[in-house]
Amino acid sequence: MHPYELHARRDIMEERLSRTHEINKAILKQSEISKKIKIGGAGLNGQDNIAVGLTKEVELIVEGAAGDFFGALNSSAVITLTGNVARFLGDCMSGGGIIVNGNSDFGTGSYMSGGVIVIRGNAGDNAGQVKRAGALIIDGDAGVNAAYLMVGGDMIITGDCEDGLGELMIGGAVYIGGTYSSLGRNAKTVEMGLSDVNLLDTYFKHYGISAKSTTFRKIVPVSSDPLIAIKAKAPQAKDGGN
Amino acid sequence: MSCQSPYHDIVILPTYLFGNKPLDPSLDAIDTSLVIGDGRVQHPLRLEHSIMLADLSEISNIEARKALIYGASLGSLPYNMGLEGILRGDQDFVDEVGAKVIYPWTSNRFGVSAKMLNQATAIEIHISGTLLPSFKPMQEGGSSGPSMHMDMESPKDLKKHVDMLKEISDYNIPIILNIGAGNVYGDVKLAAKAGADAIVIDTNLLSHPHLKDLLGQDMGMPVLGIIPPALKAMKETNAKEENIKVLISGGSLSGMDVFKSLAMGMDGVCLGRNFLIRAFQGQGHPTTEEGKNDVTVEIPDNINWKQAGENVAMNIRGLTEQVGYLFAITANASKKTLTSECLRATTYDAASLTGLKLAGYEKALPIWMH
Repeated sequence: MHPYELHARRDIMEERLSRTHEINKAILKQSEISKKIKIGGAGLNGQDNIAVGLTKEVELIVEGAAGDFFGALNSSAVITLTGNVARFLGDCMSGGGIIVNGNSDFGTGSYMSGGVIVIRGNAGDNAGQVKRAGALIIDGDAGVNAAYLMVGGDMIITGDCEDGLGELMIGGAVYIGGTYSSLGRNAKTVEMGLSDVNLLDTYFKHYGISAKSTTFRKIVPVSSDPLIAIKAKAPQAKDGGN
Repeated sequence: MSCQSPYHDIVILPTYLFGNKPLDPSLDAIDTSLVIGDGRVQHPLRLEHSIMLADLSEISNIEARKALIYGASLGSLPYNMGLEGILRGDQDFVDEVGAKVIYPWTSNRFGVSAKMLNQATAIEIHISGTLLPSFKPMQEGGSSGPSMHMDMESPKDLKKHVDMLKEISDYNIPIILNIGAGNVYGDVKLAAKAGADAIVIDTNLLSHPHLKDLLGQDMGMPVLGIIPPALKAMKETNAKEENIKVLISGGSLSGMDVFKSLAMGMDGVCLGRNFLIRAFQGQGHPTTEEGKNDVTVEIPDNINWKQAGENVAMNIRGLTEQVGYLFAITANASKKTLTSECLRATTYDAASLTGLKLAGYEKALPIWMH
């Protein structure tokens, strides 16, 4: 584990912390006195459970690569990670935001019920699984079963997606700019409306994403009833692109 | 409907001449308490009589739920919120009566937030629940969602969840693992390694009516068969040295059942539907009854929550009084001296399942001699 330095906007602290609990305690302590916190220096090196359960409206910048459950149960903070992140980024998040300037792994945005996650890279399998609300924006490609069991909110993938896009989703919408290998059970494509285009434009402008909203396609559930959804067959046709 | 105690074939032996003399509960101090998280968290959960309430969230009757919350607070027990408790807005009434709460961390995660978790007395991770691979069926006024924790890819992730919840709660409150009574030995071993402060083995596998109809009653380890493998797993993982507690949930109807569980080695007991629904009916000190062993105990109509809550509290007090007397009669001032030596199995089956001495034979069966 590498030591790192924790800096606050006004109060400079030099602390050599490496373990998850030490890091989280330092973040909480700094959030009492400052709205801007940075974990700099050597940064993270794959520690799990960093920045979990943040309830204060702070801006947290984290350098390095994070492990599993980064930003889980975040409700208010806006967190930026400069490197890659492992599994279950933003798990059970209900507000605030997480921006990752790298790739994410399995289960990005699992159980989200609010807030925004932006991945400026590729996301692993099962991105947006059981997502209930909020927005998950992947400015890259996504793996298999994106939006698995999704219940609500928006999911935007500017790149391509593998098999099972929207598998067993019963709510919300997925917008995809690239191609997908196959749609999941209970998922169907529908026409984009003006409100959809405007929604994408708003997100793209706010987060500096270069994508053309009019080329996107919208995926929604066939049925919002889970008992019907689990009996649905997967669409037969493979996607041939735009 | 009446229900039979699963401990029916085990008897308690009072002390007369052999061993220490019996205690007098009115004069001698008897400690039947359980502390979960002692030395592990800043605010451990203290249970005066080693009992707590099971998750009864499948009970949809609002008055019954209020009765449980009220009764728990009168009986000085934390209320086990359960998933449905969050959905049905139990929190408001919890705040009104000032009850302590155990919050669930289920596969569903409805309404979960860091703020909510930090208001709890303890957090309970549910690894039990239904067995369907995808959605739980919708219930009237209920919820649907995955039956498995979608953010657990393997048993190793269980420790990450425990660690995450400890971080969120800043190591203030205990984390409890609730696992269904399936492969008890294997599951308890994995659970002990996950680092939770207590493990609850839940006998109520088929709480969902749909699954009861679909799968019937032959599911899960019987109550008597749970304790020996659980204790073996705890021993092999040095859980006791790390002060991890193990409790059994469900099956207990009376203080006698609780005492038998404790004497067989459990650290505590969770009181489930069979006990509480009888308590709603104001049946006084619950006793075991002969009859059909049916888990579908029905809630009476027209419950007055205040009266029913007082009945629940009365029954809890009655049960704890029974436990205290049983400790005294068997000459145990605390759980430290309590062993299964004061129990006898009265049937071959009970002796086989539990490893207890068989009455008359006065030894454990040869299959346990190894």
